[in-house]
Amino acid sequence: MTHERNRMTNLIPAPVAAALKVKNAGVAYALALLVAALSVIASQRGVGPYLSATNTTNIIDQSALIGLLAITTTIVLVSGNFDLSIASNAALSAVVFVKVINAHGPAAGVSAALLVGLFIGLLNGVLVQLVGINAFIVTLATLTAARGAMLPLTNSQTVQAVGNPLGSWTNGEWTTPDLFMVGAVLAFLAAAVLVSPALGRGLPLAAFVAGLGAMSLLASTVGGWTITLTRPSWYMLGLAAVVGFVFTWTIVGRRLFAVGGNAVAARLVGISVTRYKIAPFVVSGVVSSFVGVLFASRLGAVNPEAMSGWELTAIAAAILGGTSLFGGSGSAFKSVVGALILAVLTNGFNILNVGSEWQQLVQGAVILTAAGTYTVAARRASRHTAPAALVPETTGSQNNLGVDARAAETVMEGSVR
Amino acid sequence: MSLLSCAGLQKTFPNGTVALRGVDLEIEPGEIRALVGANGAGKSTMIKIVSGAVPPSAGELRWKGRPVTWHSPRDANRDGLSTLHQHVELVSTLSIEDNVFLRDAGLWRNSRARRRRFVELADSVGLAHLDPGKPVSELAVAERQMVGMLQALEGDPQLIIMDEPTAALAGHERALVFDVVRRLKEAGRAVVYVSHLLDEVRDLSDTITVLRDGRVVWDGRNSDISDAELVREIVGRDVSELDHYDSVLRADAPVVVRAADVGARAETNRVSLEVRAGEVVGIAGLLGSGRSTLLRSMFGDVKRVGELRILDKPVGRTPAAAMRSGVALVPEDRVAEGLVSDWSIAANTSLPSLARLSRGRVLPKRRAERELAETAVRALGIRAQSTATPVNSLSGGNAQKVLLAKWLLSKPALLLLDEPTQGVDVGAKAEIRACIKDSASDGLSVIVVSSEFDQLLAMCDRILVLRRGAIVADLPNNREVTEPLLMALASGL
Repeated sequence: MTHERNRMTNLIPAPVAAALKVKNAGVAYALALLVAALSVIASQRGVGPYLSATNTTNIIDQSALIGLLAITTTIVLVSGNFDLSIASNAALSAVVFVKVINAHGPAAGVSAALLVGLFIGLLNGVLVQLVGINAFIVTLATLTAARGAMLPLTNSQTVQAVGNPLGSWTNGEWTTPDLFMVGAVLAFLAAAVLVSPALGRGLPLAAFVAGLGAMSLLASTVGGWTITLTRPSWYMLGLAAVVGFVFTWTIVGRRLFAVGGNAVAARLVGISVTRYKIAPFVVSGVVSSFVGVLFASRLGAVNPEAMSGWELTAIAAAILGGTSLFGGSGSAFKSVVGALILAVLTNGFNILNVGSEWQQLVQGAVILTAAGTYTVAARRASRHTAPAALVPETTGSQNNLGVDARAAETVMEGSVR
Repeated sequence: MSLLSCAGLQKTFPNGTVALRGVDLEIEPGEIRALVGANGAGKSTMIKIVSGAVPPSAGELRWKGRPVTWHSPRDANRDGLSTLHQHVELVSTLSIEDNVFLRDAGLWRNSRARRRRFVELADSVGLAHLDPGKPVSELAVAERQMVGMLQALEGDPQLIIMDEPTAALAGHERALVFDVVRRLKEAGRAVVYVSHLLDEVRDLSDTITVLRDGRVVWDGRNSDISDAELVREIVGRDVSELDHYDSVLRADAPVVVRAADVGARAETNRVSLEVRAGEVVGIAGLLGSGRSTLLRSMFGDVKRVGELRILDKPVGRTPAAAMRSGVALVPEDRVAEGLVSDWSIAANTSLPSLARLSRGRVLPKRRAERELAETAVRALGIRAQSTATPVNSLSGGNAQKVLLAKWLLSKPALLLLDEPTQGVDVGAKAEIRACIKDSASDGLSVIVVSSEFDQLLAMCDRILVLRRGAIVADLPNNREVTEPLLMALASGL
């Protein structure tokens, strides 16, 4: 009997329940509140439903490129570093892409652009980790240098792509197959796996899953359910899924968080801290250049000021998503939600025709509110838990650095003031 | 009239720890007073209270006969009491002179008057060779210590408290510190000298105060106490208080670990030792004996020289390679180096064993991790709600058990433990010892470094005494080995 009940409660696994708590999903609820508020205002002003299919697709599309950058920013932040060069990198890659496709065709263009990103990322990583220069300084320098490299390449003018070289790979929309049908197929497959002798989880769960599949199949025959989004939006969601998977379910993710959370402890369990500090920069570089390619092929042209300041918007999105600037915590999906919040704000101002001069002020306030909420929440949490573990149980100990350091701080405070 | 007099000083910390239980102390001008005691005796708390860094919970401080309440070290400093801390905190980007006058409230930097004061000060304690304009970042440890000394002496204090001033120094550098201390005495200043090294204390001090468990247990002239009595006062307890462990190691147990002239490349000391299967070898060493560096060099965390072999196979020279050779290191500072503090017990425990617990060595199996952590919780008696509890909500003793479990469950052949029982309560100490002995009885070789000698006596088969980087004694653990003996060997008496 108890066995059965356990099995039923296991259908909503504890991690999922925890993830739905306000503490963990706050940013998603904030987005929902924001959208709800805008919907109400929009209907009052009679500008049509805010969450129409067209506008939703639009908002997600507007957040796609920033969202991609926010995801890689999250990777770098989790590792305990900082990458300011992403937007310049993307812009330079975009220019290289346009120049090379005009001469040698699309494949060469994409490859050249990605190589630019790879190089900049590797350079950042090596300078930060192996030479030991502060990440802020290194990436500020590569930001400036990459932007500077565009000027001679473009003669300080907008460069135009000939035609629409990548066609539907970067532009246009993509519609999913009927999701009810997909769900039904997946459910039947899962049920088959569950009753297979290898897993043998027993019939009740398999029957339940198969039942879900049947319902899904029925829904599919009544009317399909498809989602249409622009290609960059799908790329953003795809990358978020991959990064989210790596973060949550793989050793690589676990080690990355360990390196960002406590590099010494990570080193002492034999993790190659060097590798885990450099790789995020490389990933960030390559994804940034991919964003550049998407940007260039969307507009068919790149001007030397393209994407200026996007790195800060990406960092803002990551912070909205609760990523720590000190490393060791962050989520790809929440950063995407952060990017969506910023996009919804922009979009809301436009649709409601509120003076766009207020837009940045409001954005700033939103970021501060989010960061403030996270900081206060973290301080509360640590006040509840920290004293037990962080304060030594015997205080006379000579070797306790915590106490000594605090005393030293007091001394320094006293002497400098 | 006494320069400083303390009456009935008590200190209870917010977490309930009682560090001082009523301490009386009188310091006269021109006196060198040694303050000695074992770890946890209350020396550090005493220094913090007297220097104004923390207020006492009860009791009275009098300075030159008048009651005083110091709210910060700056207050104490203004009255003429100055402290030289064990870890000298200097601003490494500033010059020696700037650091020495860091407390100075004057407006002008680089003034001629100030340079003159520096030269006078340095001259008065025999440190005239220091170049006042040299940045502190270019100085060696010993020179930094001297700059810290000058900083403490600046402003002409009447009483200087020195906390382990020679712990980081080599022989001739120590002589420099002694010289400064004697000059201060000649100039009529008083010095409170806190040290683990009893040979220094015997050489230098006029009077000695012994603290134990937050109380003064002996107070008098240096000449009135014998070496043996002094050590007994410091250690205090009857040896029978903690059970003396009788080795059950079989005489024919094979040697598993052989270290020949092993040490850190950056240091000159080399150590040779052997550990047999199932043997727990203790290393008794005081602060500055090189005990942590030795373990870290064996683990490959600092560059190692010399030959280290496990079952005749050489041990790798990086932490990852040493782990593959079967070495595990439980570091001393569990918060900063051992655990990822906001992670769960399960995630911390599985970290060294993650590849083994994963599908295709890539996808961690949550259930296997949880089971591993549950094993740990059961085996070590970790008190926590569940294995998903973050380690930063555990008590010190339970966090230490998680750290120990993390490495025990990685199935090493040689376990290196750096102060495994430091800062945990008596019950947890016993559980940790029991767990170490259990693992050893399964054939694990263990090297445990500790400055708590009673803990070593209660769990080791053999005890090596480490002083200034060299093994000065190799003792099979039997009833003739006592805490006073170890203390005497380790402190150089």
